[in-house]
Formats: sequence, C-alpha cells, structure tokens
Amino acid sequence: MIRRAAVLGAVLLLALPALADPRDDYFARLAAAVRSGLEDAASARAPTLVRPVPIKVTWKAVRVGSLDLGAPLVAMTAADLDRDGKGELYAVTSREVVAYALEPRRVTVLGRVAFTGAPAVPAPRDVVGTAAIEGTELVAGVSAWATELRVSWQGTALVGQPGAPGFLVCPGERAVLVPGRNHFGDPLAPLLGVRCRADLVDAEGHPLRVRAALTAGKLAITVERCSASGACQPAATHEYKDYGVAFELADVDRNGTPEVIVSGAGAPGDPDAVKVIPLGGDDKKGAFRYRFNGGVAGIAVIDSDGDGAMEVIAAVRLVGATRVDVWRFN
Amino acid sequence: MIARGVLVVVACTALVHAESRPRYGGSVEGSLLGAPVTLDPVLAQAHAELTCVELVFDTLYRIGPAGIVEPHLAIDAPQLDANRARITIRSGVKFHDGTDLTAADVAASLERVRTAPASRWIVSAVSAVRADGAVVELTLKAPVPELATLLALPQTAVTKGGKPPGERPLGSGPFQVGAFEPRSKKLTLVAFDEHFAGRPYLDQLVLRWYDTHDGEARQFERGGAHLSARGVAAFTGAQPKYRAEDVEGPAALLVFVGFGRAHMDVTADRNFRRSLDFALARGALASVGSGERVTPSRLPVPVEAGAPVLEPAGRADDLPRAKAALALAAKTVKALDPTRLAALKLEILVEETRPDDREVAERVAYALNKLGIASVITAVPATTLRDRVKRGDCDLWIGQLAAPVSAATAWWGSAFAIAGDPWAEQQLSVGSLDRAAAAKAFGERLPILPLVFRAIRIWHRTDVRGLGFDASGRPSYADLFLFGDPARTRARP
Repeated sequence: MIRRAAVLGAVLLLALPALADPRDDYFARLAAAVRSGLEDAASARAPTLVRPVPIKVTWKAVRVGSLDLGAPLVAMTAADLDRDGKGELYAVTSREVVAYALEPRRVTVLGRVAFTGAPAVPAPRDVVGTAAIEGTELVAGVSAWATELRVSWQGTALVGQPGAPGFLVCPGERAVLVPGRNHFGDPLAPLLGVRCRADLVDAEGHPLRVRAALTAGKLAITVERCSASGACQPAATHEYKDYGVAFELADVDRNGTPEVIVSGAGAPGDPDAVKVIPLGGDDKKGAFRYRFNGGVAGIAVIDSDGDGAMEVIAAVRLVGATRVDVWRFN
Repeated sequence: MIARGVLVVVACTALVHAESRPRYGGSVEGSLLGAPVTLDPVLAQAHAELTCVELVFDTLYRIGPAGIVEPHLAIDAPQLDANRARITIRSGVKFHDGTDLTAADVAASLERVRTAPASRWIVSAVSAVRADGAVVELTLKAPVPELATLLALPQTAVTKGGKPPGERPLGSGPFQVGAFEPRSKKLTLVAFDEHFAGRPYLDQLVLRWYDTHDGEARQFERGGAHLSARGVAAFTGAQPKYRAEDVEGPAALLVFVGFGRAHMDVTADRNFRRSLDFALARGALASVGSGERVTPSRLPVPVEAGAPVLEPAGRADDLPRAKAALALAAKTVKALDPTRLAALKLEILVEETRPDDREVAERVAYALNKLGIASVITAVPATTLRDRVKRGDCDLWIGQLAAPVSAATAWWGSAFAIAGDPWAEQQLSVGSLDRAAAAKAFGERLPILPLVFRAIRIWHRTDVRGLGFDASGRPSYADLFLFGDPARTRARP
C-alpha cells in the first residue's frame, strides 16, 4: 500500500511541474498534499533507532608490521570490500593500490592494482592522493595520474578500472587539484583533504553525517543529525587548529560521540604524533596521544577481525621513504 | 616551578609536528657559486650556470639523486631501432610565454647542441635530428648505450625554437627569469605556475653572487639571506642572527687547472703538464672551502663513477718526479731550460666571484714555485675569464666542471671538451667511450689537471625546508619551501 502510494506520489511529483498551469494553483496544492502524505506515511513506518552500545577502549600503541610499498604512500583507508566480514587496509601509492589484511602482529598482501593511463600534466611536485569508498569500490586518485582508479573485488582477485578525472574525496563529492599544486580549492583558500562518515549514530541512535575538511591550518568538522526518515539538520560544528593532512573520523568507543583522529601539522620530516579527540572535547588533552620520530602518512579505522569494534591504524614513515610502519592504537 | 612547567609544556608542544604538505608562497634569497656568464644551456660550464639552466629550462631526461635516469620531457626511455632512436615528448608542456613545447622545439634544440663547439661532444654520435609529430627521431652513427644519460645533461636543455635564449631567457622550467642583473650580482627568478612537473613552492627565488671571501657569510649572518654556501658567519665562532642547519650534496664539483696559450710552448708541453701534476700537493686542498667534503683526485672522474680512490701517495706532491718531468720538458722547450727558467712568469687566471678558486690558485702557484717557476694570480670577472680562456689568452686558469656524480661518460666527455681536446668527442661519435682507453688517453694528454672533487654544503635558516641536491650537486631550489618562522640563535650567556 505504502509502496504504491510512494510510486504514485513520485510520478506525480515528477510530472506535475511540467503540467502545472501557473494561473491555477490546483496542481501545486495537490503536489503539496501528496508530499505531506508521503512524509506522514514514511514517519509512520520509521525504522527503529538503535542506540549504540559503548565499549571500553584500551589505548595502547603497538607496531603491527612494516610495509615496503615501493613508492610513497599518498592515501590510506579501510573497508570490508571483499565481504568476508573483516576489513581490509587499502594503501594508495603513487603507482598502485595495495590491499592488506591486518593480523595481530602481521600485515599480509591481499592484492594490488596498478594505476594506468595518461600521466597528469601539470602534476604537483609532491605526490598527493585520495582514497574514498563508494559502494563496493575503492576510488583512488593520485596527482601523478590523469584519472582515478576504481578498485573492487571479483571473487578473490582485486581488479581496477579507470575512473573519472579529478578526485572523489567523499561519496558524491569530487574535487580537482589546483593545476600544478598539492591542494584542492584555490591558491588563496587551499583545501588539503576531506573525510566523511555517514555510518555513525549519536547516543540516541540517530544517524549522523560527519564531514571534516582540512584547510590551511584549520580542520573544520560539521555534524548533521538525521531523523529516522532521513532528513538531516546541522547539529554541531567544530574547529581545530594546527593538525596535519592525515586524519580520520570514527566512533571507536561507540558512545555516540564521534572522534577525530589527527596527526600534527609540522613540516615534512619533523617528528609527528597521532591524537584521538572526541568531538566537542578538549583537543589539547584528547583521549589518546602517541608520538613518533617519523611522519604520520595515513590514518584509517578498521574492523580487522570482524568483532564489530573499530581499530585505529596509522602508517608512519621517514619523510619520502617508501617503507611505512603500521601501528595499531587500540 | 610554574615557569619550568610552562617551559616543559611549550617544549612538548613544539615537538608535536607532522608530515604536512609543503606550502606555497614566499621569497628566498640564496646564492650561486660564482657569476653565471650565460644562461644559454649549450654554453653553460660552471656550477652557477648549470644551476640556473636547471631552474629555467627542462631536459628530455634527468638523473635523480640516486643516479637513476628518469624521463622528464620525454615520456619514456628512447625507443631504439637499428640506427634510430625515437623519443616521445610529453604533451601539455608549456614555455614561459604560454606556448606549447613541441617535438620541433626539442629537435631544434638538439640540432643546436650538435653544432655548438662546447657541447657537441654530447651528441657526437647523432648524425641527424628531426621531429615526427610528438616524437623526436635521432639518427645515430652507432648504438649509444648511454643516450638517455647524455640527454639528461643540462647543455641539452630545450629552448624555444632551439634558438639561443636572449637577455630574457624563455624556457619551460620551474622558474622564469624575472631579472638578470650581472652588475648587481643578482638573478631574480619567479615561479612558473604552469610547470609540467609542478609549480615551485616559492613565489620568488633571488640568487646572488659575491666577490669577497666573506660577503656571502656576512649576508647570512645578519639575516639578509636564507641560504649560504660559504658558512654562517664572517668570523669563526660568530653566531648568525637565525639558527642554521646544513645540507651537503654529492662531491660532484671538479676543480681543475686548465691550460691557456699565452706561453703555448710551455703549457702545451705534456712533460710540463706532468711536472706540474706531480708538484701539486692535492691533499693540502682539502682545507679550501667552508668545511665541505673534498676528495683529492688526479682523474676527472669521481670515485662514485668508478675511479679508484686516490692513495695517500697520490695526494702528496712528488717533487723528484716533478723535476724529472720538467727536465724532460726542458729538452724541447727552451723557456723551461734551467738557465732561462728565472725569466719565465706564468699567469694564473681566477674568477673573482669564486673566492675559493683563489686559494686553489695559490696552491698551484706554490707548486710552480717548487719547480722554480714564478707566477702571478689574476682575478678577473667571469665574462673576462671565459673570453680570455676562449682566446687562449692566459697560461693557467682555475676551472669547474659539474656532472652527474655517477655518470663516467659525462665526466670523461666534459673533461676533454673543456680543454678543446677532441679525443672524447671522436670516441663518442662511434657510440660509446671505453673507460680504460679514456684513462690512458687522459694520462698521456693531460688536457686539464684535476685537483679535487668537492661537495656543496648549504647552510639554511630553520624555516627553509626541502633543500636537497641532484646528482650533479645542484641545489633543488624548486623544491624549497618556507615553513613557520626562523629560529633565532640564542644569545651568548
């Protein structure tokens, strides 16, 4: 019944603007009535909100392994794209995408796919890149190449398809580099990176849409709280200063307050740190902090063992090195 | 107690840095190792000129810091087919005036290299060059195994239409020339936004050169320059205004003695050259400079390119053998006869903006003195030195060669070519150069007397980041960026 009403409503909504006579508001009133009816029907059948169950997180830095990538790491993310219940770590280098399985004290290669096609001209002097999950694909963009690489699993094989020019920074959000430079946006307002999460919930179980954007010296985070019907309203904004290009969003302790996991904003080659900051909390203190002599080249959150708990991972290297150490923090 | 706690907190905060990206903007003042006479790639010889050429122009290939040849304007390695090499040119590359760099520009530039006396040895195996669409086709007299390495040398850089760059050189490199002011001893370079390999991080780079021994250090000491290749302060122990760190490149700068023709009977004589070679105590030259790595050498090829390490005996002078060689020379050269030697006075030319060369010249004068030959050192402007050497209007001169540190062919080729000796060019015209034969020919002919290979050490303020060197010891100015504020030197207690 509801499905039939929804189809009828959708057809009317699409058709009515074209049919409507501007001198007669009958169709407009009809459209409003249908829309209202649809919203009432949707709210009457709203999915039940599920409150998150907090878990106790023990923060402790452990080096999981060392990866020789053969090229500089430019982006890193994690997802369960092969649908085996365990997340994979995806490392994007200037040459390829490599998928890894994380075990307690070991990192093993699951597959790799090389970038192909035309080199980007002009390309920035330092290679930069993005890694975003869209559906069952990892979309990787690297400044050295003219087009993205869309990576997915076909059975047990990791395969790649050339994608579009530009960079997918979040699902549905694309960006292009300023020609010859290592950032998006424009020369006067550089945008260095974006991370988004739409799979988190607040303490009451309302879905959250969280977007973090790093501009020169400022990490701006917007949080939208969504109703059960899917309508979202701005809920909070947060700004943090002096953090680096490696950052990630998560709710590791599942208490309904997302955390932002950040690196430092020093020059390439300087010592670095990983810090976990609950949104709205004290960013000077943070929930956890760990220092490195090398630089943090990537941060990801992963459920590597399929137990439902997210683990924070960082890739640390000496500047310019192709070998990275993988650290786990919880 | 509270103050100490605050200090600890501040110190910890300062340690929390990261791997952010280099930022764009700002202007840096640095230096060249002397006055550039020309910005024309085919005429570039000294380290200063080669540094400028790399910043303003691009080559088909380049040699990375690890000595590996990489495509640059070319998109791949040369495709070799019988006696032809085909090189595809990258599309989308722009000259500084916004026009496209094409295969025709590359072909015309290589054709100019082929006809330029100073640099034609590089492509002496190439009998013809033509553009074929986006491809440059080289017709070879014989297979050239090191073609990509040779096409990475700065003398092969591409100019618009293959024409000599004028007063305002037009290249495709990361910087465009803002102003070249030899009288003010200053070259101002401006970032080229459309450089295909990425815009430089700096907006502007000012390179100066100095005609006093301590001029550069003084400028750095008072905070007027971001970089210095000749120390941080005019006096030992003095502190510069801003704290300095240093970076040292490969020992890829050869300092040598060249021969002119003013007393041609003397300086062209092989035994005289051998005599001076033995009389020079190269080990003593290690103290010349600002503390950078100096490796004495009797060959024009560094150890990294396969030359043997010079034994301690080779670093010292060998006066008996020097005098024996001089005696042999005296048999054919009247001016070297012991009865006439007192009347002989040789002139050693040095470039006035390379103060270290004067110290080297003094060591050469000392070696001549040990042989009983008087000499005078004359410091002249770089253009005068270049002109007089070209005319042969001097007896001896102190010169520099810079090449990729591991590229033996480039070293052998340039060592013969700078003396106007066609041996290497002839060898390379049949494809390759046998290194043992080159060493033998060099020992017999001694076109130049190699003295030392020296590294370039550059001191920089702490807010200057990204400084490195290429395989030829040229600073990577296009990768420089400014980050944060310079740290001030702590006042002495």
